[in-house]
Amino acid sequence: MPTEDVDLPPGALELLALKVLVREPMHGYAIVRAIQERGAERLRIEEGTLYPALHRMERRGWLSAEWGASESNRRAKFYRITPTGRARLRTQESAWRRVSDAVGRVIGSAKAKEA
Amino acid sequence: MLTVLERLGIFARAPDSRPRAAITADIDAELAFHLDESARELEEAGLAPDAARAEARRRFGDTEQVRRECARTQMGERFMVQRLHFLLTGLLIAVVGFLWLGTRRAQVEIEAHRSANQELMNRLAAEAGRLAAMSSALSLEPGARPALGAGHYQAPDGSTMDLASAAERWRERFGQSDAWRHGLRIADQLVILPESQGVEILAACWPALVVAHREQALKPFVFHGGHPFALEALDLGLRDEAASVRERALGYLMTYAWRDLSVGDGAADAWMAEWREKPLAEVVGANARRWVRELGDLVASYDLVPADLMERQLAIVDKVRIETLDTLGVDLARSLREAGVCEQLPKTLGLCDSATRSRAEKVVAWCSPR
Repeated sequence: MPTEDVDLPPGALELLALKVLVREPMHGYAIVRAIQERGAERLRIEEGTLYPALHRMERRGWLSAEWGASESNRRAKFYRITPTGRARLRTQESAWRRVSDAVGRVIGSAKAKEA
Repeated sequence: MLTVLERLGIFARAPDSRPRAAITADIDAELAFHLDESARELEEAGLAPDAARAEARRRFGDTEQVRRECARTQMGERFMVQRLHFLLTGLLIAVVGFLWLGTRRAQVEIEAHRSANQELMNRLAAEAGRLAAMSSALSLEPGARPALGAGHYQAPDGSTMDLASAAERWRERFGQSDAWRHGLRIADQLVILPESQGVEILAACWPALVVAHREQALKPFVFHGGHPFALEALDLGLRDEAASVRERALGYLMTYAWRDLSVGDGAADAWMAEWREKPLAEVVGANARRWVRELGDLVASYDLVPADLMERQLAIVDKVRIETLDTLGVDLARSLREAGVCEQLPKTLGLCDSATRSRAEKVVAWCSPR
């Protein structure tokens, strides 16, 4: 089993951020950690790219944000998923699964032929 | 459906309206927090502080690029909104300017119409004043006349002063030209002055006027039925030293007297003494009816009226101003019918000459109501 890191496909970072925010509001650094803890360590995420994505989602109304105190008692910006963001997450999850299944089937049948 | 609504911006947050410095300060604080937390965890994992900080930066990526993208996301829409705002403001200013120009143009037109109307009103007011002055005798009770000596007299420029001063100004105005048209024009202005002012000023000026002006000055006072003080004005002419002026005054007097007062010395004076103080409508009504009565007596007395009698009676027909009777409200047609003139006159002409016949036809024409 190869262990090298892979780049995150476009749009996937938004999907992952929305997903981890469903449980509770978080600041940006906690979102990155939560994604990595959920088994995405091998996904090569340039952490900084999360922030433009968070700001875009905030402007689109998928997330709301407010400043609060972090675990280390520092001033941090916390993001919370909105009802619009939840609806968006559902459609993106469904779309992602369909793409993933389709890609998996194609790859599976190709491997079978090779065998 | 959701996507469509999102594209329409239904769920989009309003643009951040804070100053740019406040927005970038928030972005810097957010990114610094991330880097600090990351470095702290790496330090806790055993890295030296500098190494931990460097690793945190490596994992984060291009900090400056991230900051720019975040700022563009926060303020980009605002710039769009600002551009839209400027565009709409410009459009609004253009529309308001266009409307203002339209309104201004309309105002200029209204102003032009207003000044034209004002000019018309002034002319109408002047004409109304003239007609009012001329017809005021009609509104008076029989026997009553407006008092002479109104006290204040208008100079040609409209200012008021005593009679002597006003007359002096009018004399100067008459003196600007000896042409008869000039005299008539100035008399036209005198006749519209209220009350007896016109006649009093004319009398005060009279000795200084040239003959051509004296010949013309009476005319406006007998037009349109006559000024309430027309007889006073004619009296000036009757006493004039110039025969041409007296002749004109006598001619105009026929309109009121319905007889030829040039025959016999003192006839005009006697008539004037009897009628001068009475309202014009009464003067004309009584004199015209007397003439109709005389004519009625003639046509009733003869099968064929002797030519010289008829000729003498009808002599004034060409001299009177029949419209004066209409203006003063005298019903000549009724008087003629009642006197039996309308039916009898054509039958009794007999041996009269053509001039007399023509005058008789005119009288018959007066029988028809106008």
